[in-house]
Order: sequence, then structure tokens, then C-alpha cells
Amino acid sequence: MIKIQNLTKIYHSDHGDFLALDHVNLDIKKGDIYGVIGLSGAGKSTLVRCINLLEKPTAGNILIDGEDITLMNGPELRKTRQSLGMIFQDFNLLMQKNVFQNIKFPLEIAGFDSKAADARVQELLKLVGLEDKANSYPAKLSGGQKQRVAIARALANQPKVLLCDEATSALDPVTTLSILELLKSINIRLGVTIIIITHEMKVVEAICNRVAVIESAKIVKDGLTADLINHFEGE
Amino acid sequence: MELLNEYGSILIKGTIDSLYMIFVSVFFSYLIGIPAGIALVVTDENGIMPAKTCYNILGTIVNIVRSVPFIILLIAVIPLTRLIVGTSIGVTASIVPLVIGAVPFVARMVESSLRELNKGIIEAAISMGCSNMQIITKVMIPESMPSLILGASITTITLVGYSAMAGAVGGGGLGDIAIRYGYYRYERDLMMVTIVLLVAIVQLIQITGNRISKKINKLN
Ligand SMILES: Nc1ncnc2c1ncn2[C@@H]1O[C@H](COP(=O)(O)OP(=O)(O)O)[C@@H](O)[C@H]1O
Ligand SMILES: [Mg+2]
Repeated sequence: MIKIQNLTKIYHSDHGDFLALDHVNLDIKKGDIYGVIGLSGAGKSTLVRCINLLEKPTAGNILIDGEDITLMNGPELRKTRQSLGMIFQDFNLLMQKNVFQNIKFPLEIAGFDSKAADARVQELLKLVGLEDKANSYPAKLSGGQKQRVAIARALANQPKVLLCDEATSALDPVTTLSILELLKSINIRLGVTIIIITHEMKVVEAICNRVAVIESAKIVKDGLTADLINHFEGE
Repeated sequence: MELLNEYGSILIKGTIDSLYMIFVSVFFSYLIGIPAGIALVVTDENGIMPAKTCYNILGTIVNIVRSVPFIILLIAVIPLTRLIVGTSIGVTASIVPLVIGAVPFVARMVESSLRELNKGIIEAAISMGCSNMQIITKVMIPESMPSLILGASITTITLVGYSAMAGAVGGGGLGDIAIRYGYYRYERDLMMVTIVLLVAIVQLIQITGNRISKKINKLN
């Protein structure tokens, strides 16, 4: 479903060039919960941000259901982005909008009529268990609740893929588990392919069926989670 | 009291003239200043529509106008004022220099409000498939509204000061009264009253701005 081929990203700055991704190849199948694990600065965020072109790759291709997103721009790119939900470590909710309005926002962008959007928001609120918080503002929510809003918002347009950049790194262990549970149930119930960027092995162990290890801009290992855990334990 | 009997109608007219000058020029300076401020943010090299030349030209114009002392600007734009309004004296004529002086100020106020916005929120909007226009109108402006309102009250207060200066060179309003009666005719009491009125206007604007900003802000 997502094929990343020879993806290379160089950041240009006044201090010179920095190679953040070096010929990365990944093959993510439909229905996977695919983990990408690595230390801070390894290039994980750069990788996931290239998938929806938040970051423009320097070279390489990213095929999403056979369509190369790196060749897209304008309305075509925006349409494709609507099929790729994304959640972030810092949630990035609209702080002046309440929970309901936050979840409705991507539906407005996609041109839904208001009534249909309202009904869809109700479904999503139920999905993430926040029916009672519809009228609350993000500033009044806990981290876990904020991430649930972000998940509902990312799922609003029924994306094929959900990109998660350190989605649980700002959360305590118990909340982390509940968010991971939610992601897993979304994967099973809605068939959404999930890509999880993390620096924590326990996140990978908890929900990823496949995982790639990234180290200084390169993928150094990838495969089934179970095999990889065995590999590390063998070392 | 005697003072108010004698000059009451002049003071009322002066206050109305001042308020008219201030609010009309706030309106026009925002009409031009908001797009300029937005352009300064989005055309920045880290903005959503980087455009170096546009950013540099705009920034330079803003800085040049801002570095001209307002009292000099007032005189410098007289030919332009004549061209637009037909005369360079009176309340309406003074709106031209007021707007020219305030636009760069507004542009910087709007720019700084929009820059306070967390970059992650804009990235989230991009990831949801927003166009640049949607990011500006549906994310940047609504999310910055409390800060924009505070900026507007600061701008308005600055224009109270500018309008008094404009009044001093024939623009009308309270500044005109203060100069004509207080300075040339030694009516110190009358001057005091105009000062009190100006202070009251400033206070009112500040309090209203703070109230509205606080009321609409969902961050606290
Ligand atoms: N916009 C940028 N400009 C320059 N260097 C960057 C930029 N973004 C990230 N980097 C660098 O690229 C490397 C990888 O960053 P990132 O992908 O964020 O790593 P991770 O998410 O694994 O911690 C880091 O060394 C970081 O400093
Ligand atoms: Mg990161």
C-alpha cells in the first residue's frame, strides 16, 4: 500500500547540508501497524513527514496505492493528504475551537455539507469516547483526551493511512496504553493502515506487527516485530 | 463649570471629531494593514508561501514609513492629501496621514500576532489538505483573534496620539483645541480638560480591548 523507494532527504542550511534520510526503502502493507523506531535525531520525523509531503524529499519515490505522492502538487496533493491522517506529539489542536469544531474542521475543508459533517463528528466522538467533551476547549483537556480529539480529527475523512509521529511521547504510561489500544481497535475495526514513529520499544511491542529500525538516516533492520525482539534479545 | 458652559460645545465637537478621525483611520489602516501583515508572515522563508523578494520589499517599505517621525510624515504627505481629499486641513484630510502612519504599525502588529501561533497547528492544517488560503482564513486568523484584538487596541491608542498631533497642524479634534486654546491663548484649564478627555478615551479603548480579548480567548 505504501512503497518508499530510495527516499533521500537533505536539509540545506547556513551551516551546510545535512543528510537526514539516506536511501530509505520500506514496504508497508495494507492493514499493517508499522513501527519505525530509532533514537532522537535518527530521521524518524523526517521520514513520516515525507510520506504526506510536509517535507519535500530530495530524491526517491513514495507510492501510495501505486500513485507517487512526490510528483503531486496543488489540489491533487491536498486531496491525497485527506486520505492520510496524521497525529503529532503535541496534538496540534485548534485552541480557539472546541472539541466538536476541531473534529469538524477537516470535514469543512473537504467540502462536506454542515449537517452530514455534524453526524460524522458524532460518530467520531463516540469512536474515541469523548461524547461528553464535545463542547470543551482543548485547554481544558488532559493530554490523553487531546490525543483522542486529534485521532478523531485525523480519521474524519476516512483516511486509508494514519501517520503517528511520537503520538504517545507526551503521555504518561497508562494514558499511552489507552491511546495504543484505541489505535489498535481503529486498525482492526476500520482497516486503517497505521505508521507509528517512536523511540520507545514498548510502543512497538504493544501494537506493531512490523517494524523498521532507523539509525543515522538509514534503515538498518526491518521485519516482523516478533523476529526483531528475538534478535535484540539474542544480542 | 464656567469653563464647560463656555467651551462645552467646542469640547463635544472636538471629542466627536477626534473619535471620527481615530476610528475611520483604524478602519482604513486595518483594511490595508491586515493583508500586509499576513503577507509578511506567509512570504517569510519559513512561511507557507515563501517569496523572498516580496517579503524584502514589503518589510523595507514598512520600516521606512515607521522610521519617519509622525509629525514629519504629517507634513510630507500634504500634497498627497490634497490629491485625495482636495484639501489638507480639516478632520477628513487628517485621515490620510493617519492611515499612512498607521498601516505599517498595523502590519507589524498583525505580523507579530500571527507569528505567535504554534507552527505545529499550521502543519496539522497542511496535513489535513488545507489550501494556503484556508490556512490563512480558517486557521491563522481565528487562532490569533485574541492577540489581534489586543493589537487593535494598541493601534487605536497609538492613533489617539497621532490624531492629536494631526489636530495640532490643522486637523481638528481635541489636539487642535489643546493647541489653539491652551497654547496660543493660555487657556490652561481648557487644555487640562482636553488632556483628561484624551486619557479617558485611551482608558476606554484599553479596557474594552482587554475585555473582548479575554472573553473570546479559549486558552484560559
Ligand atoms: N528543518 C530542518 N533543517 C535542518 N535540519 C533538520 C531539520 N529538521 C530536522 N533536521 C535534522 O535532521 C535530523 C533528523 O531529524 P528528525 O527527523 O526530526 O529526527 P527524529 O524524529 O528521529 O528525532 C536531526 O539531526 C535534525 O537536527
Ligand atoms: Mg521526531
